[in-house]
Amino acid sequence: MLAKDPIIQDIDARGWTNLLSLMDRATIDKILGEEPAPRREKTSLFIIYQGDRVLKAFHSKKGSILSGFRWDGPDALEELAQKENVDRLTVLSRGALGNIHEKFQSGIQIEEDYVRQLFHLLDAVREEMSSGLRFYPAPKIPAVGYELLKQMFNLFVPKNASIVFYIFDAESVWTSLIIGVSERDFDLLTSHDALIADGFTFTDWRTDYKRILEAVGRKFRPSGLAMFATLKSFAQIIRSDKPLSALSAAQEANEVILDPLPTLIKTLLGAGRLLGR
Amino acid sequence: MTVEVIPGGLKVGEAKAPLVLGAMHYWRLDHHLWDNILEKVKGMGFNMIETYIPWSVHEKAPGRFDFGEEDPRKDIGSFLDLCAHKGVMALVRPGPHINSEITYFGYPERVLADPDCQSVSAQNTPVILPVPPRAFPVPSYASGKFYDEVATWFDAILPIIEKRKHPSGSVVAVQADNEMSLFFRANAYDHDYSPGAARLFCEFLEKRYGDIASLNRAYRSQYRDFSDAPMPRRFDARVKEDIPRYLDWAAYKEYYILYGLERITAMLRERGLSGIPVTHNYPEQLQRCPLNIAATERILDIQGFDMYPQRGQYELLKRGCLTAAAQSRLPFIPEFSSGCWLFSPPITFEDQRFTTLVAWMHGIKGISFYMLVERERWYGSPIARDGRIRQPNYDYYKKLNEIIKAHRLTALKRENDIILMNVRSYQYLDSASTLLEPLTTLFFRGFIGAVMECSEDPLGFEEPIPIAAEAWEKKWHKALRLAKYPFLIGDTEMSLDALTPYKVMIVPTFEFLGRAEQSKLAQFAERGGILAIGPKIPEYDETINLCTILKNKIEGEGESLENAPCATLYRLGKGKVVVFEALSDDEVEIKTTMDAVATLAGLKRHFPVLDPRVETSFHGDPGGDSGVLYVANPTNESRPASIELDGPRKFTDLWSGDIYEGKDSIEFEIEPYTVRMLEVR
Repeated sequence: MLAKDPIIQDIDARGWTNLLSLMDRATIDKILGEEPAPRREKTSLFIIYQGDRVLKAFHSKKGSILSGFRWDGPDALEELAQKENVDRLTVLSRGALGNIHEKFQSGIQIEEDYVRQLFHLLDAVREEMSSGLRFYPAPKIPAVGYELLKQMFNLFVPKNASIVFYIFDAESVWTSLIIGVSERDFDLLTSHDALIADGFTFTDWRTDYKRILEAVGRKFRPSGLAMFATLKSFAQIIRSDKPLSALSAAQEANEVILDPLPTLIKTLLGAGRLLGR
Repeated sequence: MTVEVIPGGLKVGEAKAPLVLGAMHYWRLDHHLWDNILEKVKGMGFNMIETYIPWSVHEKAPGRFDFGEEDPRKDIGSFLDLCAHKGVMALVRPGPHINSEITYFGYPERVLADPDCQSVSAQNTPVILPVPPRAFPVPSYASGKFYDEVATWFDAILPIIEKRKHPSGSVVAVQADNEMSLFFRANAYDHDYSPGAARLFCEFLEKRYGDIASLNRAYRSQYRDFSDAPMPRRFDARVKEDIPRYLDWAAYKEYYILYGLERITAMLRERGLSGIPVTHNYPEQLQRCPLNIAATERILDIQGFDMYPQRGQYELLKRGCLTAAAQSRLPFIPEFSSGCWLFSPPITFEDQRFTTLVAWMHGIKGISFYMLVERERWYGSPIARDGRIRQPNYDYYKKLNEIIKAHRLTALKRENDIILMNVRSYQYLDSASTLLEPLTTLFFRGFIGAVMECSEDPLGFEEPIPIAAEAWEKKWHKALRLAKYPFLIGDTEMSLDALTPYKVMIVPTFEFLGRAEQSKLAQFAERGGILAIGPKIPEYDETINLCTILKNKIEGEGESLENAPCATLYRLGKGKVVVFEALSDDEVEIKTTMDAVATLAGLKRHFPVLDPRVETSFHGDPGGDSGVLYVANPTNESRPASIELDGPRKFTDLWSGDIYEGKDSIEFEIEPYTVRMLEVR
């Protein structure tokens, strides 16, 4: 899924920073002109134990609370969280990290796909989460394995093609990604800067997006999937409880253009909308 | 040497050159563009570049290499010749480790796949570095087979470099390996447990103790041979007498790194790269075991920490710079962010504008911008891969170079009367008493601190020393920041001669302290320095045997120190010792305490500023009254800078040209995350 030597180049610095900022809730608030929701800092307790003995009890607000700390074992975490009045608990049996290392490092192959390699790590962590590494509340890790992920890749990701993603702020590119996919792997990551290097310019993205796709096709591979959106409409889709419906509305308002869109994905989006997603 | 390290830079032949340069990777650029890009590098005012030389890129098969015969982008010889032709000097970095976001960090896959070359974990597995685009097993720097492989690479590449060494060519320095740090996996019980590492551990113990009886006395053991002493795999000490073996284990991790550096350096020298400085770069902003820059200084000519800070990491960056300024003959940042790699929190141009000046403010005298030219897997540099100029970045570096040259920034001297010490013995215990084996990475540790990682068992001392030492160090930092006295960060590894110029040495001390460390502290005071220690006067050495070198010298009637209620003042030789039993958490009290120590030493502040969040640093012209005053606002809001003066002064902002004049004070508003550089007349 990820090539051994993917080409990653001509990334526009501002665009990349903008893209990563979308992970921050405050950025979305700002784009939508909303007042940031007040956030309470969550409290946590970190415990390391060995046999019956607790070696460390570190409270995020109080520091060490080891002195006089009462420990009823790793199976009574909800009660412990209530007793210590914390939002989150991380409980580590001494040796658990070594177990994870051992399982991960003994299972991995140097020539394997990176995603497969990471699944070795994830599997090792998952396994230890039933014994020496506990969290409260328990994290929701999707029960997806590498094979299923690979099947989804094979089914949905266009091959020997480019995937194009642009967000515009007025007529400026706010962020952009051009991802190349070979028959087997993601093998290219670049941005609109690669087109600027060739002297490419545009005036109206709603009409010029086709020229962008042509330029991508000439320089890399033909586009198999592309999304062009305004910044505000994209933020609304991310924020929405029904993102597929929000996407549909944005398409109708010409705030989002999905073109080209593989038939299978088009069908799934339509089905999702019908189901009220 | 044809090229020498001098204060403020290099002496290349008869010419002095500031060590201000940046990175350009020849093999990642169209070779037709090298000339054009070098012109643009020069256009920014740089006359030196650095480049990695990647083993895996040049090796086609074992013993067979392409140096441009097939792919002209790999013609390193022509590239270095072109640099010489254009009057651009070069620092070359032939590895073997290069990272540079390249798959497998520049090692050939066949070498990494060879079990005889691999490092071994505490669980007896290969040690996998899970970096994209491929996780890989890291090599052992104690493996003879690994060094044999490195020799084949060096035998091929170094003759090409040697031929282009100054004065025959552009090469003025060479780097030994890269970010030597056990691949960032710094937990004492992670790796390397390979057979080669076991032999190296034996060698280390033998050098340290000389004979097995001495080791047995320290370890309270009955080993017949050094090889009987096991390599610890986790911290299991129950009483203080158990800790010597763990302290040794942490010290050995440093020995392992220094061994690797020495061996690579020797391989470079043996193959003709003598007469030019050898450099090294440690990873980002860390001054803790297993990295020991004061010890590295004895092996290499130039070394420092790579730093990729965001604006909000002012304190971390400042600490790194103050450490380098104290412990390096040429305080140098071998990689400083000029752009960023993809899989990292982004470092913006706004970050770079601020942090670059912070580095100069806190004592850095040489810097390499990584990267000046973008390349595959890197963005945000002043020059794009195809030679396009990123105008704001380009203009910034051009102006910076103009200022560095016009105002001789590398020749100015930052006055530092105080040195705050890292104590190696406590660093070793900190590193060894981890409860997170084998996880901690260097970067992770920057966030969690000893209080989250280290054992809380006091082991028979009054409190767990690593946690207490960290708390005391933080309090002293706070005291110095609030009281606004310039200071640097030293290490007990530094030589007594290097420490003697300071007027005040601050050292958190506890029940035990290494014998040599105790002796060094005592001699510092005997020579006339003010030594501030506490909360304990050490009574044991690193083998937890009685050792009262320091205590014996400061016995006698102490007296109180004005404005420092928990301090007792003693005389020692020509100097004084102040023992602090406690340090307050209160900002006013701790500032008063620092003032009391400074008054005792007769220290004065240089251009102090009223606002506690704004900082100043004066770099004076040796022998003159002028210089450059840096004023920093490391917060996210504008702040007033009201600077006290000791007489009529005129200040000119080196970037904006703004002029301020005053007799008692000057005032201006300083923008968020801004450093003003004011020429002082």
